[in-house]
Amino acid sequence: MLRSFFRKHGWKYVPGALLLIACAWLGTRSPRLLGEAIDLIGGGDWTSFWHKVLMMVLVGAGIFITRNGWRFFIIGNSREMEIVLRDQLYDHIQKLPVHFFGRTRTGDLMAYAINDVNAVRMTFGPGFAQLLNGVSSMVFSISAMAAGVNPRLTLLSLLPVPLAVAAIVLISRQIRIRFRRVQELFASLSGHVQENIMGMRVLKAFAQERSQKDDFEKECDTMRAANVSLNDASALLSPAIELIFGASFVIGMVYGGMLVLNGAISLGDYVAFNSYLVMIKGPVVSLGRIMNLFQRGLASYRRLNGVMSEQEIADFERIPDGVPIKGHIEARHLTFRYVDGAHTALNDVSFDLPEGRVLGIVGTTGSGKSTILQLIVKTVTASRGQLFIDGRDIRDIPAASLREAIGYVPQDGFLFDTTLEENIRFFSDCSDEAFRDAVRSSGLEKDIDSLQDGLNTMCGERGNHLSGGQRQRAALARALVRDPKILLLDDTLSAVDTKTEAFILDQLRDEFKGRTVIIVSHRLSAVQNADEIICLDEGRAIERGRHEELLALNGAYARFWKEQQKEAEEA
Amino acid sequence: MSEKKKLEKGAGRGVVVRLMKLMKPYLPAVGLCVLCVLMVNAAELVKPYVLKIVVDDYLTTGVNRGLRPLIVLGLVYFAVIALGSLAGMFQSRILSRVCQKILASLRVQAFDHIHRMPLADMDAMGSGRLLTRSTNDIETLNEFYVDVLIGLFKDVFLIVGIVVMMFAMNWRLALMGLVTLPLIVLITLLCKGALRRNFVRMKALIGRINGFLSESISGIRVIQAFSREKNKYDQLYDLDRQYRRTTLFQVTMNSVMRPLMEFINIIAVAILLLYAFGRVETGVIEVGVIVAFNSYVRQFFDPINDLAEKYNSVQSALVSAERVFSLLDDNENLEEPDAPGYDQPMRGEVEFRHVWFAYAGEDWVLKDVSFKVDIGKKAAFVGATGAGKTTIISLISRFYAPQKGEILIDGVPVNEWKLSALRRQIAVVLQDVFLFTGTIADNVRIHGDISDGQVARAIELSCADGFVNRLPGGMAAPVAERGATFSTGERQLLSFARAIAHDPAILVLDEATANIDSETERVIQRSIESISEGRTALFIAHRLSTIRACDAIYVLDHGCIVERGTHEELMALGGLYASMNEAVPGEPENGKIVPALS
Repeated sequence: MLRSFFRKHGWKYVPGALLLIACAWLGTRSPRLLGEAIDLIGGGDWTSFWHKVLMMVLVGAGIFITRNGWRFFIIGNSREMEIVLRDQLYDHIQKLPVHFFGRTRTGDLMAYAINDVNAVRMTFGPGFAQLLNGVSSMVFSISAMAAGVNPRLTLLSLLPVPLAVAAIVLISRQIRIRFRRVQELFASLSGHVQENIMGMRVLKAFAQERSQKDDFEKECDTMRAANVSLNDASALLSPAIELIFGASFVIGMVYGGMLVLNGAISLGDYVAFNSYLVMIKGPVVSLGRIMNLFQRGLASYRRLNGVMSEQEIADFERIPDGVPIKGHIEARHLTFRYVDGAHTALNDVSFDLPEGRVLGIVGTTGSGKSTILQLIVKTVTASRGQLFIDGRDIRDIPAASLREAIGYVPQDGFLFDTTLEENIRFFSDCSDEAFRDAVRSSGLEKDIDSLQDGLNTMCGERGNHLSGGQRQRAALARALVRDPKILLLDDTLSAVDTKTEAFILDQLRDEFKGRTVIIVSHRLSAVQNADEIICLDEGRAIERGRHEELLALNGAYARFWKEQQKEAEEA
Repeated sequence: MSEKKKLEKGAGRGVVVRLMKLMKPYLPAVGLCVLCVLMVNAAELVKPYVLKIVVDDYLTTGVNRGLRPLIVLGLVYFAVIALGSLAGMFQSRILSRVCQKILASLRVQAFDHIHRMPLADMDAMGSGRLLTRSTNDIETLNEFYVDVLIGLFKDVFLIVGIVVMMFAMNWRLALMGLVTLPLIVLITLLCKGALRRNFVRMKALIGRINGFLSESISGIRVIQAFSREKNKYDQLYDLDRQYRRTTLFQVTMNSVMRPLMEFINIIAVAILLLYAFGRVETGVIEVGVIVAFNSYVRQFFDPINDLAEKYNSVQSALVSAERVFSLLDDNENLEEPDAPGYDQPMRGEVEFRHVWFAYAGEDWVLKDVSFKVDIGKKAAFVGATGAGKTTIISLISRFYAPQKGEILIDGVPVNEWKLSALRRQIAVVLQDVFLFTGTIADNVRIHGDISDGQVARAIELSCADGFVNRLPGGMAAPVAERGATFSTGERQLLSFARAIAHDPAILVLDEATANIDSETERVIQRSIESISEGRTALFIAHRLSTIRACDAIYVLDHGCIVERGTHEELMALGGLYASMNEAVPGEPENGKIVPALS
């Protein structure tokens, strides 16, 4: 998934890497210059001395410029990578078929788009830079020490360094393990508190709110112990490094001092050598961090690639073909099973719904009612030769064309956290009049009057600032505003009471004119005026006909109806 | 918004004092910590000085005094490092032990506090905020102790120490070395300020991106069904570009700041060198001093940078602390479940005497409500949404207190009952069934002392055995994702089992209005009949069959009981109740749910 990013922005790594290497090289020049200046400081050669000092300052300026440069190219580029990856991922996710979302949690997808993208960014930005910087400053420092000062001294004082590497690797691993444990405990602690807060009404109603205090105390204590153990591991890191490098410094100091006394190296060399040792320490210390960055980045990249390799809905589906939809819907022995479903959702269902007619579908939960609607919206795909719109196989009609012509009202009345008006318009450029009509027909007018900010009311997360009924009416208006040829109501009015339902259905009757309508409902009153009603049971159409015909049939529909009548008569 | 303001304003000094006071029980340990910090800093200061001695006393004297003194100095140097780093390790270990103890005890306190808060206060605060207080906010306090308290001390001490050392070695050279100091401080403060403001913007944007993703992924069906992918993509694209502007600003600032500091350091060293030239020859300045100064000047930047950084963590830690304390301090209304009070087996007589109640101000939800339900009788409350039905439940269980009037159970005012005794003997079934993580049996028990046999009996009585027995593991089957795998009807039956398992004297039931298929409907009905048998039962009812079986029906309208009597009496009355039961005009009665009752 990084290919398109690298094609466009990858070249920036070249100047970035060159500048970084230049910066590392310049960095190893300054101790050298300082050393030479110190050698000259006691003598009388003012000119060479201030030349050295000037060189030092120039090198400093060079470091400043090159460092700015590589940070711009590498770190800045990684920030670009972050948003490009996220946009790319989101674009892909949006094009995934509906069953993907059935088996993937929203929280996970969010974590991919934020945390994993960030981990990849860290690898290609700071991770890469630190690695390259570490390697090049090591190479430059060591060669400067060996070639410029004394190879024997260099070798001797670097002797303890491998030990430091080993210590860092070991301790870093411990830190990682313990950190994970702390995170897990924190998550479980938060989960515990959250659950209790949400269920407080129940806990209090049964007077059990304090029964878990001991459990919680134990949990807090485990958490405390885990935190202490994490800290103990990380507190070990710094002394381990200090001690091992301390040994290096002492070797450098004593053996180097001896060489100065012998006249093998100058005092300036000695001072420069000390600075080089400090320079080597930096990359070694950051070793653990770099390893961690790369490991996390790799794991995240794999996760992202996993999502990216999910099959998208075909391109064909996303480009409208311009053929207008009239609204004739026909199912021929429609049979369907979900990709990961265990049983057949629809089994041999046939119907012929001419333009402008109303079809009612009733049945218990799980009988396959909603599946028919999903097939028509093409969020799931029917087999060839089973579902036809205007006589064309639905497989040959792009989903985009179809959806432009369909007004779909989902069961839960999902709204976005924006204003009510924007939710209803939902990016469609309808006229103000069409908008007002939709609001009226969906029975939303009264609600708008009752809301403080009217159409400008913010709907809240998933529309939770509105009542269930208001949400569904708004979702209905959102479908109507598009002036759809086909209107699909997926148990739309279940959250409103019967009286409101009757009122809305009455209003809608006008809207039904000139539209093909499918009403899915488990409430019979919603479908009794339909031109045809299909009664589904476990995916099969067990009965069909008009309301009166179904009653005369004296089957399941009639039984269902009578049951309700009986209860009503008791009243 | 207000939190941001607080961040800028800074939290009060009282909070700092209080945080310090929490350390009081650990004073000796804290003292030890301070001692360790002193040692760490001393080591930092001594190291360059040892190097200076090596250079000045042994390397530049021109006299070879042999290897022995060099080795001794080397060992001294190593000892200094060892002492310093070990002291650092101990300081960290001690401090983390102290801090974590303080945090754990604060967590338990907050947990306990939340559980004793009245529901009204909880609702006012919101679950999200309560959660943050008891978890993240307390976690943030760690920073106060580790970074701020000890860190502050360490940094200030180090800066002072460096200055003192420099002046002690050579005060003229020290002045030279300090020329660039104001520049470092100024640049650090400016950059840090800009970075902080930018960081706030960055956080806000990532929050918005998070919200956008959460929303558009949960709403993906709608987006796809309406072919609005492009529009949604554009929204994210836009947010991402805004976000990039802030991240690039951060990259730029960081790219400039640290390299600039190093450049300034080099300038400082250059100044020292130029000043020292000639003076070394005359012996006014020793070469070793220059070498040591080179180290000292470089050591300056870190503590200054740290201090500027700490300013952020101080602020956020103090804001968090203030929040935690204000939660813990607000203990005026806390419930005392086990405070002494009337504690007798409940018989089940419920009486409201002229009860007036408002959630806020004069907005009366119940107006002068009086009724009496005798032991073992059933009463139903009906009325439109907002008529005050559900409020009655909350008052009986003393979740809220009425402003006027009295509520008596067995003739004893509810506020004279021992709270836990009162609630334990009244079982409330709410519309929204909340299931906890755990097994089915756990959810029936909710931590109560109830045997497996009793749980099984309760499940059977409430007719939940049908579906529970079908689960793998039966009663021991885990409840996944808060019961999302169960249907509404099944959840409802479980909540009945939960109510009945505690063998209450009074059953209060808020019937769910949700649509349930008729088979489940019948089971629920049977269950209600079975569990309410032999106890006083109050129904907030929506189903005709439930209502018909009641000894008394109370019709509420705008907080008043407007009609009362049996079903037949009320129908004969031809008032509100009768009109509510009339079929909706133009539509045959489907009978499943009584129109307008819900």
